[in-house]
This record gives sequence, structure tokens and C-alpha cells, in this order.
Amino acid sequence: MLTNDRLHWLTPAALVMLSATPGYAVEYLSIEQAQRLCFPKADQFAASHIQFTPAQIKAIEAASGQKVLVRGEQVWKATQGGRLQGFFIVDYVIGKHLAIDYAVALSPDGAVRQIEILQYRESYGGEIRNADWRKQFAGKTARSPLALNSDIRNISGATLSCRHVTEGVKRVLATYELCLK
Amino acid sequence: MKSNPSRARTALRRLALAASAILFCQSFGAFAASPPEPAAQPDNAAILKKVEELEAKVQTLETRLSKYENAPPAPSSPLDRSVLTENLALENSPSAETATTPQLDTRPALFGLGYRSNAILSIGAYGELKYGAQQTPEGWRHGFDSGRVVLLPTFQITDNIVFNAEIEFEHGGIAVDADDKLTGSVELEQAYIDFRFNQYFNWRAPGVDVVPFGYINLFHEPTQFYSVQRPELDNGLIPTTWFEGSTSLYGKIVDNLNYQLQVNTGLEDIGRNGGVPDGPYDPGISGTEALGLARTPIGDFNQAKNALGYALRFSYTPPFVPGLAGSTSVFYTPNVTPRNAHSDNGGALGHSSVTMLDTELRYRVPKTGFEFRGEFVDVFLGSPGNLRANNDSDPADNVGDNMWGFSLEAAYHWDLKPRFKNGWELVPFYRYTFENLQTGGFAGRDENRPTGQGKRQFHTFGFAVFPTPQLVLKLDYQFALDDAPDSPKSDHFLGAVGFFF
Repeated sequence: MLTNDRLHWLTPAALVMLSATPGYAVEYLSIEQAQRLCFPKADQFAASHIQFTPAQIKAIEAASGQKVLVRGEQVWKATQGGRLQGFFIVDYVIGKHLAIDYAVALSPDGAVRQIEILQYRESYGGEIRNADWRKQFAGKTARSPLALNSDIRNISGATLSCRHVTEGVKRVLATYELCLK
Repeated sequence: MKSNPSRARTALRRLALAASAILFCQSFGAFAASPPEPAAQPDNAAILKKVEELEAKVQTLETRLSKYENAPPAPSSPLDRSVLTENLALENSPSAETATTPQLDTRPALFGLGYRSNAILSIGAYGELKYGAQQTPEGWRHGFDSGRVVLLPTFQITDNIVFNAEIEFEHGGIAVDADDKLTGSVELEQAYIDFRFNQYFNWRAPGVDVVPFGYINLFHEPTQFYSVQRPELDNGLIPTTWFEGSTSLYGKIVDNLNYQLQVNTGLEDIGRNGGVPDGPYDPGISGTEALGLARTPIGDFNQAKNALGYALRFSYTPPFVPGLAGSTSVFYTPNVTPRNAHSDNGGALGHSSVTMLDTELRYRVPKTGFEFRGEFVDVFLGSPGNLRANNDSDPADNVGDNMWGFSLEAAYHWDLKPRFKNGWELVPFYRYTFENLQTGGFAGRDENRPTGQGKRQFHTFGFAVFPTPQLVLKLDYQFALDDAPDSPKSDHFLGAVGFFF
């Protein structure tokens, strides 16, 4: 009887659990896929992650004008036949409320090759995934203004995502200058 | 039983051994620390001192060791963080000193080394606090309005299931009877669960949500517009904040073109909660308030009609005009007439549909400070003869079969970065709004004597200062004009502090 009662009570909960776990997550690109997209010729991606020291955090914050909320940065060195092709950096920013995972591919001299959005979780503002918006970052360096409505065009309706990704790229470029160069 | 004395003996032997060892060590230690000359035989006091020194050293070392042992382990995350250990810190450390003693970040770990993309309850907020003077038939009135403070909880339940809500404290947020002195309100404007399937198809489960119609109804944080009050088209023609019990599908159609299709509880032609009374009641749709009172209540199954409403919104950012964004929305409900609706002489009121159209554009001219916005709203009333406003014995609030309006706005974003350290922005703006809430096509039992107050124009100008993108200070003046010969002036001169984070 007790078992039956429990089953009765648990059935709705189980149904909710089932409906709440669709089989796939909203991941646009995995890290590996993004690495291949950014460096199609590379034959190796060697993890070269950074853990910031407090002094580095201060320096990055001063150089980029952005708060550093992470303790380190995920960095891979892309090489082809042992020759450095560039850096692949995975970072995140908060859009309106939720994390936006994105990757920045840098050439060996620290200029942006491209950026890729890995995961976008907000309901609105996904337009930042559009290629024509992301294209604007190509060639930017730590010396670029990287300011919304200045050298980076805003997308009305996706303002917060645009602003925060722009700020994130600025921070990543400062990280390159201070920790990878 | 026998074993006890032997155990004690063993223990004693061990004790004696240990004591001799200690004594030996102490003596050795004392000798070692002493000058090598045999003449320097240490006395007991010196040995005791040495022991005390050693104890102190051991204690210090133990404290330091336990600090390292109890240090939190390197955080892990869903991504490849496992390799982020002290080795990397050593590899990348700028100096040998940090390489041998890795420095621990003692700041609170908001997201650890990486982040946790789920199981984070985030609470955002926005609000606007207003002050200034408003013109009334009795003259100018000065005052203050704690317009709204809104809390925005968001919880990512799984990677693709997200809870969102908007809890709003309006005008002070004290929910009491209207005839009390303090009459704010607490509103639940949004509360829903999103099931994110892919970028093309997502489902917003039944909940409370804003109707996807226009721009400001969806994005109404004070940093989204420059005037103190929300744009006038959103103060009646679109009953902003227009939220309903609803469910939606939304996503991307192609790059730069998104859709949202919502089924909701629709509008209703009654200006009060709790259903139609036997006697007179206020209309929900009228020539003076437009659709301002037609929102459907979200509580306690108090909706006064059965028909649903359907809203479809397309938003676009055409890639061939960089900086341009816009949306086109349509809303339709086959009936807004509440159950038991009646005219003042007792006649029953039949069904009336409502169809609404909206198109709005926002254009920020690339690489300049110029911004232009425009919006057009059109509302079609299917059977005006069945609307309460045309059957409520008030000849002045009647409506025809259509009401519409448009607005045009120009703003200039003046970057004050060279003058202010943190990059303040000054945005002067001007907006023209025209509304006609009482066009032709009147039908109903009332006399039809509109005063002209439904035909309105607004000139709104002022400026907004953004010390940061999350904060805005506003000041504006609004000329309000209508076609009524004895129309009371209702200009305003208002300031506001708005925030959104």
C-alpha cells in the first residue's frame, strides 16, 4: 500500500522531471568545433590556460576598464607543424542575466581573427550570433577603442549582449597583452 | 586478564624509551646549537629555552601547513578546467617568487575559476523615480512619484530551461484599497518558464508575460528611452505594460529575422475587476483612455470573457542597413466583450473583435551620434456598436471603428568621455506624437458628441544623461495639445532617475 501511495505521489514529479530534460542543450558550438572554425589549418591545440595573480587582475582591469570576475582564462595555442597559428581563448560575459560563452581567436601578434558564440542562454538578443555583427571584431587589438556605437555597431534590441561581449573582447585583448604576449 | 600487566609493562618500557630519546634529542639539540667547545656545557635552563624555541617553530610550521591543507581545492567547471592547477600558475607566473608560493586569490569566488552556467539565481533590477511639475486645470502641481522599482529574478534550471520573472513595486508599492491615502501596487508582470530547444524553436510555458507588440512593451527599462514618461503611444493605444496570461513560441527564422507567436487571454472591454455588475460600469476601450483599461486581469480566474488573443511579432535587423532595427506586430482577438455586458438601458452587448498593428523602427546612424525612431500603431474595432464606451450614457468617450497614432523621434548621443573620466553620455532628444482615438464609424446607443480630446499631439523634448549605461538622469518638458476647445492643459516638466542592472 505504502509503495503504491509513493508511486502515486512520485508519478507527477517523474513526469515533470522527464519533460524538463529534453535530450539536447542549447550549445551552438563546442570548444572543439569553434577551434576548428577559427583555425582550420591547425593540427594541434595545446592548452595553455592562465590563472591570474592578483597583480595581473589589477593590470587587466586597469588596461581594459572592465572588472575581472574570473580567476583565469582558458587559452589554447593553435599550431600547425609546430608553428604558432594563434591563440584560442574561451571566455564568458553576462548578457542580461545569464552567461554568454564565446571564444576569441587571436593571431600570434594579438589581433582578433574572429569571435564565435558558443552558448547563448537569454531569450532575446541572440542577434549577436549574426556573422555581420561578429565580423566587426576582426583586426581589433588591445589598442582599439572597442566601444559600442563607436567602432562596434550596436544591435537595438540586443544592446546588453552587444555591450557585454564587446567589453569581454576588450578584456580578453588586455589579457593577451599582459599574460600571453 | 593476564595481558593487562604485560601491556602496562610494554607501555612503561615505551615511555622510558621515549623519555630517553627525548632527553637524547634535547641534549643533542642543545649540543648542536651550542658552540663546539666542550667547555660550553649547557645548563637545564638553556635546554628548556631551546625546547621552547623548537616548540614555537614547530607550531608556526604546523599553522602554515594547515593553511595549505585547508585551502579550497581548485574549482572545476563544465568546461575543461581540470588542468588549471598550480602548474599553470607556475608556468605563467611573472616571477620566481610567485612560482614557488602560488598566490591565492582571496576575493569571493563569484564564478570560481570559470563559471557555473546553471543553478545561479540572478536578481536584476530596474526602476524610475520621478519628480517635477504637472499642469492641471487647477494650475501646476509639484510632486514626486516613486514610479516603479522592479526586481527581475532569473534562474537557469538546466542549460535550456530558464525561469524569468518581473516583480514590480509601482508608485511606492503599497497594495491597499484605492480610497486609502497610500495607493501603490505590487504587480507580477512576468513569471514564466522558457524551454529552449534550439535557436529556431523555443517554448514559453503558460505564465504571465508581456504581449509581444511594439518595442517599449517588451523592453521598457528606463535606459531604453529618453523621456521621463514612457512614449505616449504606449500610454493607451498600446496599454503598456501590457501583460497577460499567455504562452509563446519564439525563435529565429533566418539571421536577422526573429518571431514570437503568443496566445494570451486577450483584451476585454471592461474597466474594472471582478466581472460585469448589474449596474453601470467603466468601459475597457474608450475614446479618452484608448486601450489603457482593457488589459485582462491575471489573477484568480477573473478574466471576463472566453475568447483568446493572438499576437505575432517579427523583429528584424536588416544587414543591408547597419544600425537599423525594427519590428512589426499584429494582435487579434475575436471578442473583447465580457460576459453579461450591457448598455446603460439594459440591452445586451454582442461580440466585437479587436485587431491591432504596429511597426516601429530604430536607427542609430553608424559612427555618428544620431539616432532616429519612429512608430505607427493602428487599432481596428470590429463592432463599435457593441463596445461599452458607446453604450455608457457618456457622449464624450465614444469610439469609432478605428484609432491610430504615430511618433517620430530624433536624438543625439554626445559622448562626454573626453570631459568625464567614466565616459558619460548626454542625449538631447525631441519626439513628436500624434494620436486619433475618435475617428469615424461610430455606432451604439449613446449620443455621439466627442469633444475633440481624442485627437492629441505631444511635443516632448529634453535630455537624458547616462553616467554609465546602467544609470540615467532625465529632464524633459512636454507640450500636450488636443482638439477640445476647452481642453485642460496637461503639460509636464519632469525629471527622473532611472537604473537598470
